[in-house]
Amino acid sequence: MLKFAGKRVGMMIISLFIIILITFIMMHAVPGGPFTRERELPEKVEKALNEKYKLDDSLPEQFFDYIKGLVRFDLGPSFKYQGITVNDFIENGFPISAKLGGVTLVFILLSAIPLGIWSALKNGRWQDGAIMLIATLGVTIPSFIVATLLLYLFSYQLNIFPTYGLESWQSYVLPVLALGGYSMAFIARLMRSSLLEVMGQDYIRTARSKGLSETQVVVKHGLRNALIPVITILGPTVANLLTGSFVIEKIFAIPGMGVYFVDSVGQRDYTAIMGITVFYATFLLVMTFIVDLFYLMIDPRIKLD
Amino acid sequence: MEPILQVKNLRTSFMTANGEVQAVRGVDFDLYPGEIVGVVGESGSGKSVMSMSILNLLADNAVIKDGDILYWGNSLLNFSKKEIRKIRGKEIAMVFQDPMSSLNPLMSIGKQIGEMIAVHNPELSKLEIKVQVLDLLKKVRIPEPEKRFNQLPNEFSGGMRQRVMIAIALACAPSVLIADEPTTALDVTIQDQILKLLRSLQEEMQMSILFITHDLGVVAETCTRVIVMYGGMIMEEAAIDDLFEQPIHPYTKGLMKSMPSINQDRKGELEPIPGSPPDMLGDFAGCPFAPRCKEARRICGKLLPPEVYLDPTHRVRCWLVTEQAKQIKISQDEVLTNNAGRGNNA
Repeated sequence: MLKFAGKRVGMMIISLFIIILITFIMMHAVPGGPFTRERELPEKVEKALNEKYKLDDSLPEQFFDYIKGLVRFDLGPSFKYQGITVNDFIENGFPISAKLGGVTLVFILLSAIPLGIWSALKNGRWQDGAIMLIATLGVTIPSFIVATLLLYLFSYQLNIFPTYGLESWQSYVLPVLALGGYSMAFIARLMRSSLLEVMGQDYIRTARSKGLSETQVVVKHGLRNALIPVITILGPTVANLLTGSFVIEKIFAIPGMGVYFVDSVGQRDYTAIMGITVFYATFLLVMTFIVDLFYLMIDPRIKLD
Repeated sequence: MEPILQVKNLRTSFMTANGEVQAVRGVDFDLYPGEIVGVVGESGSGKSVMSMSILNLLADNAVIKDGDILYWGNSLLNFSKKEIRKIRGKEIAMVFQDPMSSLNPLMSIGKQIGEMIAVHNPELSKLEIKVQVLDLLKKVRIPEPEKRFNQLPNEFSGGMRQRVMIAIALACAPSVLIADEPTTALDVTIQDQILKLLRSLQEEMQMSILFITHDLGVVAETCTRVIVMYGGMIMEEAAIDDLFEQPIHPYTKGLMKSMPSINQDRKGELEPIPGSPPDMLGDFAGCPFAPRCKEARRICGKLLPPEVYLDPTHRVRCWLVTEQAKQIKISQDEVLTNNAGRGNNA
């Protein structure tokens, strides 16, 4: 187990290094810089700024400076906001995004998996048709349209839920639906198709021939096998939800990480772009690792040695 | 002696987008306590569907359209879902064709065998069940049962998995075992071991076996009586010696000729039956085998032959025999108006 974990951590560090390198190169390949304005700055000012933020060093030097900071968990100062570090942004934004994402995740797991199972068991009947119709809509309609429709209907017309912020439990309802709609629909469909496939397997027939009840067949032999593909997709889904969505946070005026990340790209806030990418990548890698640990639990065929 | 299992005029169809696939078209036979009956036929002859119909393990789109299945005289088709579950495994158990896919890949062998015992004996403790499972593993001659108990199917070879399947089937000492091509997926040496194991267990436990296979050689080694199926119907039924010494139906003869080692006079050459099994969609005009039959006459393609008993244990469905037996005489005009398979003894 320790050996396995050590190996995985090593691989994660290598992946992370490659991600940082690629982001760094791409970021600097984009024309313009943090201090590019429509009206050019006086040469002296620009030079002073570049010097202050070490932008006049060669790129390899800048890169290794950045890595040095990163090892001490120092993501550097923001180029755009005086006196604020990238660490501050993550510390402020991430808990908000993560809270919304966490609620959404729980909502997805509690709804998508049972709906997918139900749909599979009612295969071909109207319940299945209704669930799959909604799920297909959920997968195909972009979240900003869902969010706008929800706001129009529940906030503007019916005036049930607030339009912005995350102050009360009511204010969570619409962002959770808009943020989780896609993943929920996707996971419900995946759960359904996976369970349907498993229920057609020979070992399900064997289980039935033993005289097990249909519930026992589904729970003991069907679900565990059918959950494997769903767990695979959960890693990226969790990372995606918890790190915040630009669209949803913008529409519902939620001060999370998503908004800040997209703004930082537009403004060439180099350290912010790097910092958030590193944070997001690390999070994704850790989630994938956790998913692999879940595999170990659910699939006894996978052995560590 | 009272038959333990009776299949009466069974008709099973699959409702598909293309129409009704009539996989089993009126099958009648009895199975008596302690005997091994072979059901032989090509792929698509309806033998597996027939066997799945007995315990109602058919796919969702399958319907038993007509007929009855009696276990000790009680109709299994009238049983509720709960009642049929008590029959499954405890009274009538099954061994399936592909041992590689018939075991749950995520559950230990010990659990999968023990589950069968636990379902039908809820009063037993985990330990009591484990003792029985270890016993069963020994019975099907799996070495090191203690070690094997906690292993997963992927740690077993094909032959060993089929032994596990047999252990599951025998866990509750059923009266009837339906073995659906239990050796087809295995190589020949393993096949032989499994057959020997089944025979010795049958002797020991005195159960009846319905042995479904497409291999006449396996039948010759194992069974006391044989049913030959084609196109969802029984073409011939006879005691094992009768069938091999005196096959009557051209299809049975064809099966024998296409089988190695029985016909020593043919110098190693096999004679396949030309053509392929019939499309099971819709009705047949005459005998389902007529299009492939070398001896077919005009009537064969027009009218389904009736079943004729040559003696109490030997029955055939073929116009050739019907005419030989002089049981009926049908002119060409009558053929077109006669109701298929009826009025043959008038």
